[in-house]
Amino acid sequence: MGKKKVAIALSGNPNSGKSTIFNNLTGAHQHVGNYPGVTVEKKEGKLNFQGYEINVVDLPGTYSLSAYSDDEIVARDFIIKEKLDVIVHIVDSSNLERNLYLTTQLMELEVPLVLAMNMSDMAEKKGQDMDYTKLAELLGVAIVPTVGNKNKGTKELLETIVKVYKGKIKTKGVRIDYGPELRDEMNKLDKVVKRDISLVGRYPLRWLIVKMLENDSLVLDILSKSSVAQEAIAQNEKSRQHIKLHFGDIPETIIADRRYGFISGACMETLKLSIEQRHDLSDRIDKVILNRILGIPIFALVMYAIFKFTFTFSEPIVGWFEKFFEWMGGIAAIYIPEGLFQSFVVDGLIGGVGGVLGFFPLVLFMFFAIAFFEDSGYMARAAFVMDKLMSKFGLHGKSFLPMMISTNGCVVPGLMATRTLESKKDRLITMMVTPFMICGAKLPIFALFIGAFFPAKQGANIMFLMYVLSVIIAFGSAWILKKFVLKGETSHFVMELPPYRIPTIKGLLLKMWERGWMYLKKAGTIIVLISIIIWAGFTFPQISPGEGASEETTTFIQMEQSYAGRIGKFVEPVVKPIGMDWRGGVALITGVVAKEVVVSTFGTMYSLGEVDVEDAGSLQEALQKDKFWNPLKALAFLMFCLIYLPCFVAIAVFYRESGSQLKWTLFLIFWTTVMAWGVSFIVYQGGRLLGFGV
Amino acid sequence: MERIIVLALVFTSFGLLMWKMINLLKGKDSCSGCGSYKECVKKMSIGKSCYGKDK
Repeated sequence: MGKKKVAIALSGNPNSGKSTIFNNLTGAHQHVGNYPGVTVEKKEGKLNFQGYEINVVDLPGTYSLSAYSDDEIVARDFIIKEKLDVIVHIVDSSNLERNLYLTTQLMELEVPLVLAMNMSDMAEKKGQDMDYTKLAELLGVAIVPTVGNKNKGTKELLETIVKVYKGKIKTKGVRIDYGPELRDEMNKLDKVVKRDISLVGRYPLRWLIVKMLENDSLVLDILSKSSVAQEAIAQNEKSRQHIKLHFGDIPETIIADRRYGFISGACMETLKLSIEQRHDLSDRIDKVILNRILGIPIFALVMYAIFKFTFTFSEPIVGWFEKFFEWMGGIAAIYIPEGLFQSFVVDGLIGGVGGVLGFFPLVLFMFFAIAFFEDSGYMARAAFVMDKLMSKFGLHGKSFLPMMISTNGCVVPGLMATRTLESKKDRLITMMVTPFMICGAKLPIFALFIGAFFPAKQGANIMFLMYVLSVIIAFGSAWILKKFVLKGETSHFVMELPPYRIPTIKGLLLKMWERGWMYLKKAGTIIVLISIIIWAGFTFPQISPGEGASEETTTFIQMEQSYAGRIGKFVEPVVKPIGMDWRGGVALITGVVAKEVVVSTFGTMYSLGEVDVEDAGSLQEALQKDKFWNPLKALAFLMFCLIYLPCFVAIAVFYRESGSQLKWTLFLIFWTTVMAWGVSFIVYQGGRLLGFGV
Repeated sequence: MERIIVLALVFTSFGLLMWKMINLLKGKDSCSGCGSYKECVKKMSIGKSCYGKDK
């Protein structure tokens, strides 16, 4: 029986020691020819090892696999067409970041990859201390340190090649995340390209798409001959144009940036530098921002700055919006005859929806500030900084992303973003704690109560305190869950560190609007509908006023004895220990439909409670005037809103994303509600014991 | 008459809300960003934001 044949190719940068390794492997058994059609030298050789006949091709030395030179085209065509068993990528360890750029492109070709970390002695002399095992895990490849000119590591390299060939070492080439904007465009191209099955059979799909966005002439040529040519090229043009507009730069640059970001993140995780210094600007900024001691305080400062900016600049505009809705209510009260329909419009629609829409500017300012830090490249660093802290609490580094998405807008996409977590347990833990974040829907509740019960200058401070508390609660919950419920090890991954950029105004405004639109859309649909139902809940059944009762007393009795009032009274004993009355109970129940509804419920209640509609003030003023409330009760209420169960949509998505497991969904509902009640109880009763709010 | 109109509006709203909720449960309309659970899943399958409608 003949020996089993293994086909491998050596790739690498020029001067990476590729030829030396090739000579070490093949000895005298080599011959030189040309690749067909080009004058690029083709060196081939063979050797026998552990019963295998290994055929080795030395590919031309290249820095990348673009279509700029014959060498690059030959190398990548050979890799794609020859269906090699293993690619050995020779990396100059002393010049790691530049060499790994080619690695990222080989990873995209989805080939079994072994990295020979050559000149490892030189790297050590330069003061580098590399964690090869971790790097291999992060990149999803096999790694062997070698010293070509001393023929060190050759045997280990061959052993690894055979193991990869036999499948004893799995290489899976981790996918680089090119960021949300590029990802969106890649998804659009994906939809079009994969319709041509023959194309997908011949080339790795993701590689094709990345190359299309890079405007690779040869890939575009291949595509022009496909059955989806017209549509794919048109979509590619659109996608490239969109990326250009968003980043103010061509996609090739953005893609290269992301690859270097990925490399930078991988090196940061695995490489310790003792002598070599990094000098470029990004590295110098990172030295401060990613500093072990300063990293977290800087992140806290950034979050504080976001809240400060939001509250300071949105305050006057929120005031105008509130005045506008007050004015609208007044006008409607004048032109619609007094009665049920007037109450429907003024108290139900304007009072309910207006309360939510009044905070629209605040939401926009918040999204703008967060988009600024995202686009500048800081948020990726924040994930890196938080990774170490999060792992101590049993959270995966990738958990930062879903939690940040929830803070940036909505828990629903946050829950879906947990799909990036491979371990089911890590994913479930992240899904359990993601709803604790302050989403865009909770913002109006905080803005309303903070504005009503705390000094204006303290707004950002209280909001920041709430944010810190949400993080503490999320981390604490994760720790408990990991320790007692979902035990297991947390895996590692590469955190991309893209270079810093100055965000474009257009990009920021676009992001702000996309997220703001979500808020508006919700206000125009679910909030309108639920506001009407809440109004009806407080209006029916209609109670006949007793003789001699004042208008104020009649309104109060009507609300208390309405359907909503009865529900509120039913839950009052549960919410009383946390400082609420029946009205707070109703608002918390309706808030399950959507968190903004807490505000619209109060809007409707206080609007109905106003004896003279034309003299009605803003909702904040109405809350201030209500003697029931004080800052301690407001704080306890906010704590409850911060922690208690997520909205209906988020619960439905949680159910789906947890694999339709009812037990976990019920656990989420139980966990968040009990925790919310417990924390609010401590805040309220503790505050009272300390003499606040008595 | 006024009472009938108002009650009709209330019940219509209730019906629409229920319809919306059922759609949410069925996964047809789970995300107000992209309006479709399937789209949302595609966008979120590897990543970060699902706010973007097709621009």
